[in-house]
Amino acid sequence: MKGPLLQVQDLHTRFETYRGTLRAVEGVSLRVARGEIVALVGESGCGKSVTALSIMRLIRAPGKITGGRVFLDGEDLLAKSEAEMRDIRGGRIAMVFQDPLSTLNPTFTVESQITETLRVHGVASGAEARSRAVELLEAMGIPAAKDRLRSYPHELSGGMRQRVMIAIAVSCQPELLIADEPTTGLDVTLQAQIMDLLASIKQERGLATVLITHDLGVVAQFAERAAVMYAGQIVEECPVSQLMAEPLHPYTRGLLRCVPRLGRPDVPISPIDGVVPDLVNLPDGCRFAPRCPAAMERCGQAIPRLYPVGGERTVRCYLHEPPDAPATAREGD
Amino acid sequence: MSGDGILIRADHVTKHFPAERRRVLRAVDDVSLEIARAETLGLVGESGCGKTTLGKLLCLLDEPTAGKIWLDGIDLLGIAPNELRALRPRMQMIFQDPFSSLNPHKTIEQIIALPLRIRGLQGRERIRQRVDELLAMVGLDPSQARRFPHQFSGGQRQRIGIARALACEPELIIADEPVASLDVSIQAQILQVLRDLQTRFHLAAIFISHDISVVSHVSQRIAVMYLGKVVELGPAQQVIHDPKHPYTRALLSAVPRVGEAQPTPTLLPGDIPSPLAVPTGCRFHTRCYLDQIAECQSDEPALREVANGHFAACHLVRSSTAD
Repeated sequence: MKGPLLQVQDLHTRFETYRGTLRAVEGVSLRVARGEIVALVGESGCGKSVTALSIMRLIRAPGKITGGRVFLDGEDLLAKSEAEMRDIRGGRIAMVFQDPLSTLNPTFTVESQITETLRVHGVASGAEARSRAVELLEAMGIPAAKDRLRSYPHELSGGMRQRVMIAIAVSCQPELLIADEPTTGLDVTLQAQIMDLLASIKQERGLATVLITHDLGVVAQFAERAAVMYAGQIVEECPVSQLMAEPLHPYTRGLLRCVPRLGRPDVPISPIDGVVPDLVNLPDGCRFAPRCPAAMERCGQAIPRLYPVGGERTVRCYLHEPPDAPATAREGD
Repeated sequence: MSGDGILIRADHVTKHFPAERRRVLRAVDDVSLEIARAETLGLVGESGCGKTTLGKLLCLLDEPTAGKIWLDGIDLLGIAPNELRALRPRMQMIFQDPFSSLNPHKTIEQIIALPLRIRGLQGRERIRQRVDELLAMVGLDPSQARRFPHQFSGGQRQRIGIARALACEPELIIADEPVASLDVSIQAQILQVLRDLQTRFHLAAIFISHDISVVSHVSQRIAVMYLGKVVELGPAQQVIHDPKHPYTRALLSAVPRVGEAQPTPTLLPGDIPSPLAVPTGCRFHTRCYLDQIAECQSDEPALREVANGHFAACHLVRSSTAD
């Protein structure tokens, strides 16, 4: 049996700031199988985007990957040369970002941006690249694809721009797609169109997807497995159905209680008190402890490990520590 | 004082903006609605549907091209500017972006004190005391009053915006996407603050949002807008659980659900048409998935009652009140 397509092991990414070291990602481990959609979910600043950028090796100074390994189909990406990474980015791993207006080049036409990708990765050039571009746009559900090739990004609507971004992302037949908030800022009817498109691409091409989002509704609807992040760490990971039905980590439970349920005024919205910790001055112990309604004394002393709970589930909380667990691991173990 | 409990009434309100090449952008087209005292009306719709423009018109931050707006029986467009100015404190707006709606050069105390001064509160000590009260009301520490907006987080800034609106002791709050830029845990905090204050001061509110789940939690009634028109209006739970207009139905089917089964989304073809080139007849007919009749392309459907207190603007929706 083949291993997972993507395997992230104990990833650490830090940023040196004038205030001190900002620990954006600390000990994140993640597996994505071929054809699987895994959501990385959390609020602003939880480290989900930095995790994605670290996988792509797109962290620039003052940021630095300080530990861990990232395997794509068994090959360690962190050991690759920059030239090798350039082939992998856009080739084997593609990325779709939140804001297509700032990721598409405003001074080039749609055609030149799609054919550039095809050319750089040696997939096609000249007239062939042009006809491939038309096919891609048609596959993305863009009407009058031929005419759209001559358009500049500002001439397209938000939904169309995101379709062009996705066309560029899948143009070189990647094995892994990292979609960072692909529908944030789009209206729900457009969001439904784009997510439908991503789901059908996954179906047709068996594309593995890391879906980064803050929106638990999007997770519930589209992902198979989810990893919930809080202050740079994964606090809970499990199949989405379990996460929605019975969240275990107090943060996940609190987060789900914050989400207004459509047409269910009988399910009250109850906020989580307090704010996320400063990543430069993290609390000792569990990072959620200062806001946790179930916090115990030991929660403030050492960070709990990700404890296995049943089959495919892990939870970073002492409440779910197996009775025979060894003594608490220190951070970074 | 009007005795019917209606606080604000919009009567055939229209806002057209002139655009280049003599075109007209029809932002809001012939909208009529009313809000009772202490009631919350949710205004939902997608980008560009005119919900923000309507919100601004209702508190006269912008003047309608046609139509009338009545506050407590007073015709707001028929009175002198100084009379209108005297009424303005009664209607206050809370904006979406807590970064651009607070003056970065002023302290929080100065920001909140300004409306107090304008309303005639005098004496440094009394003003300071009132600012402290207002900050405490929205859950901020009064000792932070001397700080500047950039020293606060997004959620805290939104609280400051709410405190500023409350300084006028309004009867009506128009909240335009007040939680759109906030994380969900912070969003829940702000919604709670708004709800508590509304109950405490019997505030009427217009809650403008693209997020129907949020609106369904805070509103008694919901108005759904599409391309400058209200296409459906009714009691919140009725609109959510028994939507009548095909647009509302598609919109609701696309809302991602948490903790319950997802209906198969009705995917609408294409994009929303430009308000510079509004389709003839029913504005939704270019994207409608129902079997259309000739009137759909020729006649603009009026908003009519299809169930008790539940209105829809569609030729194809049968009324269940008349038989």
